[in-house]
Amino acid sequence: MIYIFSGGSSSGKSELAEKYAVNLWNKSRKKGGGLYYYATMRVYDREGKQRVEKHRKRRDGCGFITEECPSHLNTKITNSVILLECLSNRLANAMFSDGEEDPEKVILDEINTLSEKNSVVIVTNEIFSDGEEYSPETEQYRRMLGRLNCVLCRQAELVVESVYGIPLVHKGEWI
Amino acid sequence: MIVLVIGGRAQGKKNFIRETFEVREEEFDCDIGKNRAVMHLEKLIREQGKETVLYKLEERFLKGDCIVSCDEVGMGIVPMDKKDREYRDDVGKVLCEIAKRADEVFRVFAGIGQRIK
Repeated sequence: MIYIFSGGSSSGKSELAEKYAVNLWNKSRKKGGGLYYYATMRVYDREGKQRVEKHRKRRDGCGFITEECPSHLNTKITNSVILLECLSNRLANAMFSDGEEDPEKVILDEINTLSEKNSVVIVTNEIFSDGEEYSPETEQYRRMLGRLNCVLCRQAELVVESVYGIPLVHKGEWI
Repeated sequence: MIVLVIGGRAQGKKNFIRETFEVREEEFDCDIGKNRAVMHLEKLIREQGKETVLYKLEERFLKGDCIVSCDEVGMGIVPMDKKDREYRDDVGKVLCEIAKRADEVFRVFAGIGQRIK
């Protein structure tokens, strides 16, 4: 099962997704499983470090097991609730620092493998509406993330856009 | 009552406020003062900073009904410049705070206001 949480910068999407993941886990605890937090961010500077700290502090005490996966997602987990934070970083790392071939397919395969045996809560990003033109690389990134969002939202049980902490449900039912 | 109105640039937020809440022209303002409607909060955040704006709003809300209007600015590629990044984050954070406090939140799309809270 896939659950998608999107939104712009500082729109409160992560907080909503965290709450939803914790809730899913509390309702469906399975033996041999766990509540996982797949952290994809690579820290380069103080700003990045602060962002990670902020997120870590907020989810402290929620019972998340953190898996650092800036490159590949650990697909061996089963019976669990996995919060992927976030799709946009996973893709950016693959394209801009790892030079991965066909990252779109690799990421989709990883998520599909995970979602067969887990509930996967995915945080992604709205980066599509500033009306600017960027370099070909950035435009390619934008198109790829847009396509990934479309494909994953089609498969998803629930698609939520966070509008400054208010959940707008575009698909499915918030339970 | 506290009302938050958000939406992209030039989506008809002012007109929506005028019609929905019967706000007269002289009741609109581009700063946080006595007026009923505060327009372009994103500009105030850019000029005065997040903390000042939050403080002023807090004071303003104590005085009674207020409508706050703000452009959504966080839906594009994350800018290279640190200041630009912080600005977008600050607008988002301020709007999260106001959304929590507000009795009603509207998102205006091409002149049509959708009530989301």
